[in-house]
Amino acid sequence: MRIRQLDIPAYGQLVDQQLNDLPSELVLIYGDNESGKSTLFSLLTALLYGFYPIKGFPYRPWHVDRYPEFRAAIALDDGSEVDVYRKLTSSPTSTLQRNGRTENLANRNLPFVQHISRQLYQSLYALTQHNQRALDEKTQQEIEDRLLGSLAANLLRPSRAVIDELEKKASSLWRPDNRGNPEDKKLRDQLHEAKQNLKRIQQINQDVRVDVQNLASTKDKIGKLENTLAKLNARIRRAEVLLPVHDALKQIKAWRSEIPDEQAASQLPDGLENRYQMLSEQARQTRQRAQKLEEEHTQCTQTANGITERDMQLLSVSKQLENWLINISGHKNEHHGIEKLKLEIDRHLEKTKRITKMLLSKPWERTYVPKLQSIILPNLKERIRRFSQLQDEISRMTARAELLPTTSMIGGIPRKILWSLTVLALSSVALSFVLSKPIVPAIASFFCLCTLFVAIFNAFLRNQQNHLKQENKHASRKNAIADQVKTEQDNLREKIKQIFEELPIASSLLEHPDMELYQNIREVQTHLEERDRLTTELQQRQTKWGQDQDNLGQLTSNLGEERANQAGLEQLHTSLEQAREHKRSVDEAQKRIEEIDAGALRDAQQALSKAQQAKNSLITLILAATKEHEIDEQVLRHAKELQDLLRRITNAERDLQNKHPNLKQLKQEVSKLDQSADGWSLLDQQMVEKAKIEANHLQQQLQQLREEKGSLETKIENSKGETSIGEAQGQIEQIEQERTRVQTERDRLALLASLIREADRRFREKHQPDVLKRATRYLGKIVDNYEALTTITDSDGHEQLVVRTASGEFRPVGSPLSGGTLDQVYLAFRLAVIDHLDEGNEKLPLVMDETLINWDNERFDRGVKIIAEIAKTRQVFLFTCHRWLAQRIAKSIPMPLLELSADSQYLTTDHRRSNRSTAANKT
Amino acid sequence: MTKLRILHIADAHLDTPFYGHDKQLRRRLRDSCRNAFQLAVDEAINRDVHAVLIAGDLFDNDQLSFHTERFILDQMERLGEENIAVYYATGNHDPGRANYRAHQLGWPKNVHLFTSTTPTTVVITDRDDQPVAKLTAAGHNSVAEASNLAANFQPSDTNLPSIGLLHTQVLSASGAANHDRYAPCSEHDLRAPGFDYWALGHVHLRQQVSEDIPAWYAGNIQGSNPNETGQKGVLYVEIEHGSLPAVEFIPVAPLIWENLNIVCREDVDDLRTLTAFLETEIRSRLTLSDGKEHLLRLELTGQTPLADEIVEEENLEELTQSVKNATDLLWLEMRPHILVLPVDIESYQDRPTVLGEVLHLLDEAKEDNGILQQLSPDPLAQNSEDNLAYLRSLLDGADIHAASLLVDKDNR
Repeated sequence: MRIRQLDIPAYGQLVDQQLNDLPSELVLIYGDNESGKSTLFSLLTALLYGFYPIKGFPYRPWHVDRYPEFRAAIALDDGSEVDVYRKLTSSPTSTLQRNGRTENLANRNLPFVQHISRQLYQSLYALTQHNQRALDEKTQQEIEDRLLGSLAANLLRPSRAVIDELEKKASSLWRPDNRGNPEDKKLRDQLHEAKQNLKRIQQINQDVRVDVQNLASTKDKIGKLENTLAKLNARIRRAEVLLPVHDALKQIKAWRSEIPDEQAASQLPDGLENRYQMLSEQARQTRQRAQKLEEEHTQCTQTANGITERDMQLLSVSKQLENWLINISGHKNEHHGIEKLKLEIDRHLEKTKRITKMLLSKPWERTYVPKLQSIILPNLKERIRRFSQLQDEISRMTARAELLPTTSMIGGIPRKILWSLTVLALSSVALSFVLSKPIVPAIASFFCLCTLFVAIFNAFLRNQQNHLKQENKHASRKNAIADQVKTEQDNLREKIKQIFEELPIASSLLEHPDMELYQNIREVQTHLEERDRLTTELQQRQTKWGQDQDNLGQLTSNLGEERANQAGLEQLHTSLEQAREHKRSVDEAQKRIEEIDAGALRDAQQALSKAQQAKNSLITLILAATKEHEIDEQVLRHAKELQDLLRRITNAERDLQNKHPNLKQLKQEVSKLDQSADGWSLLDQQMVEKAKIEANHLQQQLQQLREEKGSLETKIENSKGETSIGEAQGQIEQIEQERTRVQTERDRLALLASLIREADRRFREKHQPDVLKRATRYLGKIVDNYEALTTITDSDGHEQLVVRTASGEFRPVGSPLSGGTLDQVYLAFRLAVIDHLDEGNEKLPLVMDETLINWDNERFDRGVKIIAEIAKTRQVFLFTCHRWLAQRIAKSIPMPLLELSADSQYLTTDHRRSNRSTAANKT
Repeated sequence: MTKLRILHIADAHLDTPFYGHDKQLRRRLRDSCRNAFQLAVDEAINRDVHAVLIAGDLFDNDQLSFHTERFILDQMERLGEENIAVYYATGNHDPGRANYRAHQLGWPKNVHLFTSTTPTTVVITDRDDQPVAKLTAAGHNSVAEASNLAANFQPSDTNLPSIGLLHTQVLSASGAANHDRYAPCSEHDLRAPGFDYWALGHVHLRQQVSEDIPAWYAGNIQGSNPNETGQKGVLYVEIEHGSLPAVEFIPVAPLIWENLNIVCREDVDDLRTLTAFLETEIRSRLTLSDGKEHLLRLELTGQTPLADEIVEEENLEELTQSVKNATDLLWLEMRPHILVLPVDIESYQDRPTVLGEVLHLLDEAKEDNGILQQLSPDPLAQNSEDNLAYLRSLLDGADIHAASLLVDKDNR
């Protein structure tokens, strides 16, 4: 491939640069240090392989704020042309145009450089003054590895690295020695542990089986022991339980034999003697009670007959008597009230008499009463009032007539005076117009004013005179009316007199009747009315009081008491209380008689009969139980003894029953034992004690065995939770499988490493000769004293790069060869490798930077020739900062010189300029 | 004539070693094995079979725990209570010699033990003690019975259905190679007696030995490791003399082992998509909705951009958990095996590169034992009887692996 054109908008220090029509063989670029040679080499690499690294890309434009960007036109080895555009934004973009199609590359390699990696290109295709010589052992080894080994393949990692990786991984899985801690060793340890665990579990299982056998044995022992213990306990029980039963039964039997008739004895009541005494006492007491009741009946009958007729009479009016006792004081008070009322009536009459004394012209008579009461007060009042009004009218009229003036008292001003004053006034006025004296108008004014005043006063006087005339006319009319009023007054007086017609009223009062008359008449009527009312009340109360007094008298006289008063009543009340006492006694006696008659006596008699019967029954029982014929103290005691015996039997049986719920069974056992010959042979207490000790011992053994049994059962139960042998074995198999897997994987990896190693060896063997041949050819073109570049295998089996001198001597590439020779050897070797790698693929541009700087003249010329030769097959970019060197090369190989300067970021370095430079240099 | 009903159980392997990384899983497997056997007994009772035939390896003699002993005897007693006879021919894992557990256990009366290598014939009766079939059986006396026991079975001379019961390795059976060669026999040996049914044990893969022979392996009742995949159970057989038996498989294993190899795809380039891809693959290749619990060993191979991420322990654990949750698996073991970044291996064939040389050498090694021997690491971690075969097996996937290692990641 050959780069034909570069258009660089921005890249590192290069801005808006264009390199058009670049030479297809050798591109010689001259520039000082920092003029952009490294930038240009970076650009060439980015052109082929994209921007790297994207983050922190070192060739972002230095002086402008733009993205790295460039475009290139490339002629491929097959003659076709492509355009490449790359720009490093946040997401790098690259396009490849070929055959009219645009291909998006993103940031990938150009498709025709795939056979050479970026790293390889950078390390192999860029030759600088410094990287072609003075290589130390490690670098030398690396070069050998990379150039002759893996790196000689497309995009491949070094075989040695892969092999190391595989072997390392294989060793981490398994190692033939016991070093390190590979996976297999860990698994081996786990396996050991798991096997130990398996042994433990197997032992547990074995133990469980033993435990199960022991458990069965223990259960068997427990069964036997329980059997023995049961027998022994039976014997002890026989001694401890049956014997007391036996004795008790025997005693009961003995007691029974002493009782003549157990059935009869069993019917004897408890507390026999007491009961007998009690029944006897009860009969006696009952009898006494009956007698007492009969006596009481007689006594009550007598009491009931003891009440008198007077008592009955008193009791029949007891309520009246008691009422009178309560009301007697009121009765007396009423009498006093009547007397007071009489006095009141008299008082009203006296008052009437006193008033009428002022009114009447004659002494008081009873006949005046109805006349006075017949006066109709409203009529009287109205007439007197009217009369008084008329009287007042007359008085008023008379007084006014005396005060009225005459019309002559008021006359007008004479008209002459009035006229004279008028003439004077007019004259004065006239004079004032005529005379110019100042006094004249004043006088005229005076007269005018006087005239005006007199005229006004005259008018007022005339008005008053007219008014008086009118008043006099009215007075005349009123006198006529006064006469009429007097007439009316006289009529009224007559009428008033008619009212008092039959009464001798004082004439003075009748001539001038007034309201006082009326008031007096009214007061008289009031007293008379009150007297009448009180008189009526008096009559009523007197009638009532008289009736009560009669009733009282009737009551007391009926009861034989002459005094119809309080003393008499109190005497009667005392008698009444006595009668009531008598009555109560009689009632109680009758009630008691009724009670006695109703049942008390019968009850007592029946109780007596019952007590007697009970006693007889008891006696019958006693006689039956004792088989006696007559009751007495001895028989009674005997009966009691029988009863005690029977009680003892009952108690003994009850105790037995309580102690032994299965008494029936025990009785049978006792019965059997009684019948057997040696039923009670173990009655010896010592034997019983011994048996008890033995039983206790057996019990302890049994307890111990049961605990053992429980412990074994728990142990067996707990062992269920243990891991089974199968599980443990499973774990072992799991680990073993894992070991197998790990070992197989190790073998696989080791085999793969071995395979790659062998392949690598074969590859070297196959391809090294070609490289070395090419290198030898290049080296021969540079130097004369070395015949060949080759490899030899040293004593350790390692291959070593050597040069063979003309004398056939092999010298290792390294010291003691001189630095210049090493540069030349490595250049030859590198060019050979490049040729080898490019074989059959696109030939990538070679970049040389001051490569020939330290070469002597002869070798320099040879080197230039080699470059010229190489440039025929691949494009070569030759950088130098030495003008003389550039000129010397340009002299050897006619070519345009491209010149860069330190500030060339703004300088367009194009072919034309280069041509000019070249021409100048040539000149 | 009454149709004979039997339940054919084989290779219960109670207390067998259970595969599992953790104790809990092993415990589950142990319990599931017991549960499976109990379910088989339930089936026998529910279907009112005339007899239960156990074709050996009921338990593993060396691993049998006391509690499993009790369990076995309890289950036998259950059958006895239902008046169901059990015919039990011992196998290589539970041989019948005096010092072995099968001989020592206190079997209930309904259990008929066949421990002798000489075939014995007994009559199977119904509840009314009427004969319904003749059974000929032989047992393993020791743990390594090498003789052909089937060859000694004599032809049946009865009108009743005739049955053979034996723990044997029919050499032609599928999966027989995976088992130790005990009491081997051929199809001919099984055909010779003319039995109406052979109840066989030893091979764990359920199968009819041959289409023209009514000989069946019931397979084991519960898979014990990832290689024993699929449903496991027992066979319910109805037989009429002279007719082919009606064989019904009854799955009883509560846990189902599965083993899958999934080749990753290059276009699956993130873990979430990968999880979905794996879930889809698993669901499409397994029947997860069968009411059982599934245990899956999943091997991931192939070329994927996620190769480096998957092999990271943390990522692998997360991926495993995600897939396990998505598929409701009881257990999932995910193993990357030669899982590499995508590489175009074809482009390196016959090219002058080390990788080209590797591929060429690989082809040679597969063909040339000398080269293979030469390449063999010394020493090998695994000792194999057939080293060359072992080495050759190690070359599987070596091309992809080598390419993935040699090709620079940055230059892919």
